[in-house]
Amino acid sequence: MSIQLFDPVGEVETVQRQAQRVLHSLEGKRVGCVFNQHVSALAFWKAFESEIRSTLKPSNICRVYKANTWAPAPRADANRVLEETDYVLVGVGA
Amino acid sequence: MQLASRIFEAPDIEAAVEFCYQQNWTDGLPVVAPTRGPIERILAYLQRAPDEVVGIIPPRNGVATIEKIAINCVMAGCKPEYVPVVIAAVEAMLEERFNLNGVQTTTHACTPLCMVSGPAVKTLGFNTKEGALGHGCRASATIGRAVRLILWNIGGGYPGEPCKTTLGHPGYFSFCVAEDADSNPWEALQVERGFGAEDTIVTVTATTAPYSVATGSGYSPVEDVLYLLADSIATLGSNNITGGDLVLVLGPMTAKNLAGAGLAKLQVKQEIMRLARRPVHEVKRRRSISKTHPMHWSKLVDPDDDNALVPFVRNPENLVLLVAGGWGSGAGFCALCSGWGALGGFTVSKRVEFPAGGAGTNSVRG
Repeated sequence: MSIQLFDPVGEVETVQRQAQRVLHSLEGKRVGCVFNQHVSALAFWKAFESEIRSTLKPSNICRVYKANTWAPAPRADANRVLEETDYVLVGVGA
Repeated sequence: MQLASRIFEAPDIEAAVEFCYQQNWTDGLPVVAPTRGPIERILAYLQRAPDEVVGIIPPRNGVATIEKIAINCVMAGCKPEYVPVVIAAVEAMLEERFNLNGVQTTTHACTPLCMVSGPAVKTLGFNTKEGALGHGCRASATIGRAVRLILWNIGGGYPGEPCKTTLGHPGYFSFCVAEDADSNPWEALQVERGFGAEDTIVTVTATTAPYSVATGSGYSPVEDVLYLLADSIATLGSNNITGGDLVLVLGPMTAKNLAGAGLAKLQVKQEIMRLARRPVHEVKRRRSISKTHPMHWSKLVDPDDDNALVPFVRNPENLVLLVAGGWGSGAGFCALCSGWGALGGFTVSKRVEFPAGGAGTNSVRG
């Protein structure tokens, strides 16, 4: 007689996403910058933003510099950056 | 009883254990085969619907239903009456301030330490004496293991991807301890945390592995005991340099020493907070957070004053004191479990909701 085993792995929560808008060019668009302020990425991020400004000439930069490097940005900040930008650069690390 | 989980078949018990390995259902240690009988016994004990959702476990965002929790508890070897403790621990870890997503994925070596306090410590048979943080007790071993298997199988906390802990520690297999009410000279942890004395609670803090502290409480004055405890906390490699929570498990001899000197629990915390500091010129060697960061220690002390003292415990409530362990020798051993810092894994407590007539405690889910 065989042994029946029940799967312990949880189903992954399905999330409804809005249809994504395609940007054909990043030039002159409103950009969001979500940066975790990790010490190892400070110099990189500074140079990265500078490069974005000079090459893509964004019409506006909306910055979310996280108060807690390792935790997600507060929902209000996330919503703000989504409302005020055409695309978002999200820094990861640590 | 109708269960939603997929069912697999194995020809015998040895093949079943191997199948669990093949499916990556285990953390490296063998598991009890999750078969229908013990799963249904847990569900019958809980008197809760199998499809009831307790929460979503990051980073995989797996849905933790009562059924899935029960299956993982079977695999860990839990008795049915242990499972409400596991559920409360899951609920606690899912509080936003705990930042479970970060705890599960950080390069640091923190994992949830489950601390049980209240009447059910005795009724469930926790060992609160010699080896309380270690081996030899089914309740603490299997409850701690069940929590870890839930983080593994539902939350997907697999090492490498996405769990980036650089080294991990043995508590990633099981990490649970219970308060010894008999030798605790102060208010019980559940009372300190705002619950009733009759409540059983689980308190979780994400911490590193226990670090043994020989306080000398059997032969040293209280000033030296406090100094040694504080000195063990204020090490430059500790993430608590950014603040955050940490746990000190005080052996009964040390607790008696401190209480015997007339110190209330809060006073012990305040004294440790006062002593657990390092001067600026030393702390400057720790560069993990930029000066512009809101958590940086320079927000608390003058960074240009080399002799100013930087605290490792920023508020008394950051320090959890739990009394457990054997009487031991005059060395008065205690255990420090440092935290993740101000990044998360903050202490959260939840009342354990036992089913009506369950576990012989006053905390009853009606």
